[in-house]
Amino acid sequence: MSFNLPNPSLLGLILVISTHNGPQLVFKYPNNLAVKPQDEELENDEYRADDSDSDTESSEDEWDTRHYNFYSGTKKDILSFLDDQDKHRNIKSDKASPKPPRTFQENIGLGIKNLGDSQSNNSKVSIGRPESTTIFGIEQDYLIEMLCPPKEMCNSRFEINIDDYIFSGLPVHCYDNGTWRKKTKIASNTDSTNLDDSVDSPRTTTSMTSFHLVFIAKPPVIESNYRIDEMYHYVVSRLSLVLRHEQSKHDYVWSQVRLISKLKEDFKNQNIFHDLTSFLNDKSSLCKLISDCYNAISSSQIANLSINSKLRSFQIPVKTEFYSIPDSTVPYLPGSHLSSTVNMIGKTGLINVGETARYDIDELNDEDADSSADDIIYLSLLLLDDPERIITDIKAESDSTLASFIRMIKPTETLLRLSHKLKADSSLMSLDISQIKSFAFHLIYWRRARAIPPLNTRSSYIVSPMAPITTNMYEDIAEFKKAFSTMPSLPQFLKLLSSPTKKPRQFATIIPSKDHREIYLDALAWLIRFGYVTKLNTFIWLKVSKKVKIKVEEDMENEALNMNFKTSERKKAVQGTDNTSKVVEKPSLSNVSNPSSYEKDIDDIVMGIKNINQGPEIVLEDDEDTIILDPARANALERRWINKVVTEECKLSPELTVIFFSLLKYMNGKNSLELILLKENIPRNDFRRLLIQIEDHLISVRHW
Amino acid sequence: METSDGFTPIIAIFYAVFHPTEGTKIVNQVPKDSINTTANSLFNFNTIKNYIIPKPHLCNKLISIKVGKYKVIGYPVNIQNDNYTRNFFNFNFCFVFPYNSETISYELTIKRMGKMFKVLEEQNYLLSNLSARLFIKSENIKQINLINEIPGFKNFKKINLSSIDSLISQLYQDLNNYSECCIPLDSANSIDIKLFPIYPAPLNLKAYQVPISMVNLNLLVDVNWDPTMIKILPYINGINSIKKISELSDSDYLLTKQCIQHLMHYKCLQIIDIFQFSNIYAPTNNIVNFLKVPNLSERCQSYIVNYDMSSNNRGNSTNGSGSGTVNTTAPTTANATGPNTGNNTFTGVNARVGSNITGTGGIGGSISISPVHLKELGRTIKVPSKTLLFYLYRSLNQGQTVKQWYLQHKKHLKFIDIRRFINFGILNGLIYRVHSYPILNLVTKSIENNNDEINELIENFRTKLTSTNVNSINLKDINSNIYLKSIVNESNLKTNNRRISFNYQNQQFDGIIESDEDSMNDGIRSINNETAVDDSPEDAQSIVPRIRNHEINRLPNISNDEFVDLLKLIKLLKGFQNIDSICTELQRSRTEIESMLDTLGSNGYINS
Repeated sequence: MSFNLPNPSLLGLILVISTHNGPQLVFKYPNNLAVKPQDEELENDEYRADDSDSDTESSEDEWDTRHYNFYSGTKKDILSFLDDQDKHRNIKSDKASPKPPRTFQENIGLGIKNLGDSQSNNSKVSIGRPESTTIFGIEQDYLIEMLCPPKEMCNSRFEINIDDYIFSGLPVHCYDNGTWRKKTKIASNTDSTNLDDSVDSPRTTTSMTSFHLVFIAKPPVIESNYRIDEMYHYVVSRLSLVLRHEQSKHDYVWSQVRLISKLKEDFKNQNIFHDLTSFLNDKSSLCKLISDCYNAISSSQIANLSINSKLRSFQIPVKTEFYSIPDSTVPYLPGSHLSSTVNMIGKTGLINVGETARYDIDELNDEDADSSADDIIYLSLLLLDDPERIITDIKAESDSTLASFIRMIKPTETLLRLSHKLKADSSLMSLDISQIKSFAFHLIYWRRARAIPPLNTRSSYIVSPMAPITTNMYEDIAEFKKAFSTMPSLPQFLKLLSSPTKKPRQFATIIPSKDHREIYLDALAWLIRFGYVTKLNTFIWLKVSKKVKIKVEEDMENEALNMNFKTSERKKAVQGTDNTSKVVEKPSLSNVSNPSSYEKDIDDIVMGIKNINQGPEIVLEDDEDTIILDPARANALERRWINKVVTEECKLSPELTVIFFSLLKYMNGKNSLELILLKENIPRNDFRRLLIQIEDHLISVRHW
Repeated sequence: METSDGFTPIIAIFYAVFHPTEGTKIVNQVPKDSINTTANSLFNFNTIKNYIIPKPHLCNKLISIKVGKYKVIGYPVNIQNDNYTRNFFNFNFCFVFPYNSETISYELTIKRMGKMFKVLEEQNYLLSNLSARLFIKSENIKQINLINEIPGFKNFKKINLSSIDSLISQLYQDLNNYSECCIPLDSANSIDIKLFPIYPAPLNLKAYQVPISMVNLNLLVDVNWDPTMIKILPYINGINSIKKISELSDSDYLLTKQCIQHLMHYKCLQIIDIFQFSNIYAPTNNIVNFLKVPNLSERCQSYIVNYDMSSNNRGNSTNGSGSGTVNTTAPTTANATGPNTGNNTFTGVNARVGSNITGTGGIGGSISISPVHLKELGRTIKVPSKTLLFYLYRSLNQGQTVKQWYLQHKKHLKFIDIRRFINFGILNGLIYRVHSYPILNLVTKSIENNNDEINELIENFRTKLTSTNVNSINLKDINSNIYLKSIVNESNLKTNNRRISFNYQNQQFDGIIESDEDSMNDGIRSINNETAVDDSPEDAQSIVPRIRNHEINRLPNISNDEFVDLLKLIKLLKGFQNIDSICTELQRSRTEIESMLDTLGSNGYINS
């Protein structure tokens, strides 16, 4: 499915309230909701004949890798596609003025500026025309009535679909006692941060009984549940609750509503603004936040809204983190990151992990994975943008703790190390590890950073199978050159990382000299940021050879004899865990012969006998080795095997035995050796010695 | 909770009307009393009354509303007619589902049903007639009954809608149990519903991708099938790329692509890559599944085992055993030709294959082998153990081609069909294909510096072509058609400008040219150096014909066809296509492409 691509499908926002005069529309954005979205016309001309000039009218969407249309339908053959792409690029480059280096943010969200432009264009067009009274073909008044549900349906999720349009919201209704929140709090009068509002105390019963900020969306049918849930969960409910809070504390919504109706009057008497919407946006903070919300969310950006002069952010998270490669038929955002560390923090809800299958939404496959979000301290943060830019973007004070933390982040250092560093040097700010963690989570959630295993010249890196080579390379070559003018070109650099003749090597091997170390690591960080490169990790299991198994079995038989035990049960256990399954029997020959001819019959019999002698015997090769999948939950027999391996096969020294058993639980193919090393704080040397000693009893896999 | 077919079960169905005196009310419902205004109802009906029969403006639209834990979907119908007591009649057949369930499959049928009843009501007063006294003005009842009489059929028993109660309970039962229903309403009308799952729209496939069938496609064919579909079917064998299929079946490429996209849409196909011994594969994080997912390793064992029927090349695919699910004929060429003969070339793999390769889906636990084959074999086949297979999968890596891997692990691979082994890994996500993207340094440079070096190279080739080719008509042909169409369109003008500038000499560069003489001896490589000279800002007039001649003479001789291919190749390189795509597009082997790349200057590969 296309769930990996952001597709908010948001068409507009309306704010309705109900007063004793009945429901009324306060504000809608964009103003011209009557206009049908363009997407619809696109669907029919998916297939165009390959002859000629039709491409001039191909829509923007088809060239936008963030849009599903880029991937769907039947496109032309590759050569004509590339021709068009080239043309498209030239048109774009002609238009575009020199722009600042591309950032990760731009990579994932639609250009918000364009959207704003088209918006204002639209509103200019509508000057002079009477305000339309329908919303997507539905009479406005009737619709508003539907959107002000009876009280029983309020204060919970509301959703109504009228044909293909979905109206989703959280209607907020005041309670019988006139308050807006369930728990009546002790005199909220004391809390009067806003002096203007203190005039009408929140408890004065306003005539407004409910307000409802409705999000109108028209997602593709197949995804509609998913998209609406997503939007409701991340934006609709949260924003509505904030508004309710402000209403209950400061009567914010009602005072704004009154302001808006006053402004609507004023509008006729002024001549600065041409249209009402921009006038309202200018004068009313509620209108402003609704428009901002629409503009940001509909383009998959982060909405930074100022609600009653408090800054709140909302977003529908984008899926740029994957723990396994999506099927070849599943589109994903170019530049997405692939790493199994994603699995670790995927469950925290900080990031939305991408879907990999086309038809089913698969859950994270390891519910029992023993890693948790706490492990983030063993990872490092990779900022997705320039630190100073992030600081201004998130509107943090330049000398705040968060800002200085952002400046300190290095992709080569784990957060733990960072905290040690802070502790050691008292001149720096004081930050304890839990604060660091929460800052890290914050940056990750708000698309500013990515948790990665610390960059290291000893690790090996591969060109990610999800690298956006066909989609982004053309533009990125120039970007990379701009960022690292002294380095080999982007393709050249990727080539170095992916030699076809040698197994992936340590990153150090491609660094020409010690002086280049820093810049090569910087370039590596750049490549990971834009999804070109991922780290290769090693995962291990214990492998028990037949020899060990026989030995253990002998031991057990001896014990059994000695102790006069019932052996039968044990034997059963042995069979149970053995991977050998039943031998496939030789297929019997069903000779359907023709009885008419006697000779033929005899021939057949002769043949049959021959066949029996010649027929291939199909046997299953016995499993020599058994791989222990989860040593932490090994059964009695497996534990005996392990002990045998440790004590007799490898003859580990006592201290190595201790290390071995502390590491045993990680030998389940889920934890990378690199991470174990960081987590368990084992001396690298001992670790290496251990691995060498038990090498014969390990089976390892290398992937991201 | 899902029905056997994977559809959300219906919780309740009700039929509501706008009662002339009591307003909106439920007339019939199933299960009984599931919805009312008391506490033990699914939800309080009064709450959503206004959404069940909304204002006339909102009627005749599909409306679904969330109420509590449920979603009510209906198609409210409003009919204005003077015969009705209130001059209008409103009704709605509503379906209740759990909220947050997938109901798309139902929505269309609900809409259709609503529309149908609207028409029947308009024509025959089918619904209002059931309680005519309530809804229809008394003076009109007789007249309406007349409408329903068919002249000459007075004495025949007329099937009429007896009760809505039985109708909706049958709907409820049938849809929940069989996902379809067929309920006659009267002599001419019936409610026929079949629920279909809805899949996402087909994705754009690439020419080099290889479809592999998951079901026996031949069994699906019926007379109504699209001719292209039937034409391409025999060539879908898990080896031919889409482009190849379209060529072999002599069908239009775009049509072929569309057919395959549709087959994939219905899950009849999966997509793999072209198998070649020069491919690189590496394990994914899902390799664990091989050890964990029940039956996966057994399926693998039965799929990949190689019966080595090289002697039996008649392709006898009739399956002796009755099961018919698995066709084990494939004595695959991949292994038969071996990495030593047909390897590395794109076409090398494309020899004869056994018939239908049923993928993982069709394979049960057992192996069925036709007796015919057994006759020709006289030895023991050892099915590799699971640990061995796992070991083999994990030993694939980013820095090794299949050929190298094969040579290294030869002793274990005796009974393994390598192509199947790889395909099984790909289809189950155990391994992934590491694609190779050829990169031409010239392309990189011209992007970095935002100039047209690459077009100059093309120009040089063209000039060379002109000088060597006497057949000027032919050339013109190329110039006017191919060039205009295929080279970067806007650069055409620029290059022409530049060409004009060649007419006057610019001596100042001669010195540089002399000093560059050495590197020029390297042949084509020198183009890079010289074009680097043009990079200087004042380069518009800097190209001296002498240099050009020099360069041009260094270029190898090429024919017209080669030139056309070269243009295509450059275009593909600028689009950063992988080698499979390039080979498929140019219909050349990898070695041929490599030599073409060498003519264009220094190059390399990114393996991703």
